Amino acid sequence: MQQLSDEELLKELAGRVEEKNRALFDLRMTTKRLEDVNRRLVESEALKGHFLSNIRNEINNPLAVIIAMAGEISAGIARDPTECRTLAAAIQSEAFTLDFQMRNIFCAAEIEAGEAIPTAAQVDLRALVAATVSSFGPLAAAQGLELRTSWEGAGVETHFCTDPAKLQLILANLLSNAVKFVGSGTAVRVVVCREAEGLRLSVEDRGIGIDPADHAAIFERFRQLEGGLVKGYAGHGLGLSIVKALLELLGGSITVDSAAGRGSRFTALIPESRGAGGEDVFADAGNEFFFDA
Amino acid sequence: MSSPMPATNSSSTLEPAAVYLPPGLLFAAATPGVVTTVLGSCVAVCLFDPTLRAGGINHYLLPYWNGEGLASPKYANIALPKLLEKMIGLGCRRQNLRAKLFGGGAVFQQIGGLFGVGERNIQFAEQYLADAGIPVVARDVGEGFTRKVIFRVHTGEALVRRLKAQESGTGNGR
Repeated sequence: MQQLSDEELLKELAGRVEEKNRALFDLRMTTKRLEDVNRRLVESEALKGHFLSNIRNEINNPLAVIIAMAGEISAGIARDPTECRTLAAAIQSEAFTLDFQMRNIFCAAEIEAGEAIPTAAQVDLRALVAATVSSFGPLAAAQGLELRTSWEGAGVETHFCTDPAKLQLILANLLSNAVKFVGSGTAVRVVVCREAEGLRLSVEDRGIGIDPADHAAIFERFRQLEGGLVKGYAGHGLGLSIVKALLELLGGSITVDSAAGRGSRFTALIPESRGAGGEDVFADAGNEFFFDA
Repeated sequence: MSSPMPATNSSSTLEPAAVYLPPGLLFAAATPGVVTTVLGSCVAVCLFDPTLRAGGINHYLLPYWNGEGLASPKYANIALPKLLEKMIGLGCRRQNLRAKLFGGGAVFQQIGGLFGVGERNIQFAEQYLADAGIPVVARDVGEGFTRKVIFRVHTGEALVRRLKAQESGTGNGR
């Protein structure tokens, strides 16, 4: 039996009390987290249920419109060229919405499966941004909205190394939200800025805005702030959760600047991809370990 | 939009092109391939079936999904079952699988508590693999290191480089 002086004994006891306190802290934190997660999972399950009941309408309605209008043209009911053009425009708009929503659903599935491995390519920013913005042109025009794009910062240099498909979906989702929630008669502004840290992309609207208390909730999947069975706005509530996940994959981030009734500005920051990634990390000799099969 | 090929970092033409695996993703194949990743407090679990010569790897940040955002393999409780599912999907038999465990470095200043996030990430994997009956044949985990892992999918070989402890946390691995 080791003899301890009173001082040593006290020190040992103090150490054990300290350790017990830390373990208690862990336990309290874990319990709190568990309660929190449990609440969220129940919520998430309910939202998923809503998603499944909504998706029927979101997919069936545009398809019904497309089938009916295409039928009118092919059956020769619509003969007048102007009428045909109107119908074709409506078909295009419905098909565009459907295509966008399907791409979002597939992208969310890909992210949840862990298969959304980013690619890297030199992207012509001007072309990509212009194409994405103009794809929302008909939708905006129907609401009397103006879509403006402005380029800031020093740079005629518009090539940027990133994953083009992911960048495009990020911008499309931010634009779709802006167009959806802006209210008619105003403008949506896209600002593209090349900075030292990468690319800053912001989409601004003067729409209904988001209360700061809800700024965290909007990034949750299947979440739209208005609940209930009668939805005023289309969509699944997947958009921003996809934007956030895609930005994380690209090493970027998103911030929101908004208040109820005062419009919103979403700003995405995307660092330039360095290709293979992790190549700037060098090892020291003697710090390598090989584990054969 | 056309998808370019995965980024390569291999100059040798004999070696298959390396795929960089960012956090929150996983990769599995029964064909030759090399995956690299960088880990701080994150953990990567490599699974390998020597009979089928198929391998897979994940890279997760946190032990449990807390309902935030998408339920992606950013979280161990999603990343491990998903990886195992993929391996089984490739035709692997669970009893043939071997695991290697890397990362979980204590690269962040710890706030309260006994266990940091790295430690909890490691614990999750150890427990999950034990429950699944998959032996862990190699591990380089914990301590204050950021690690770079190079995993050969078709041979199950793994090369781990440790970063100097004082550089850890400034690396791009989380």
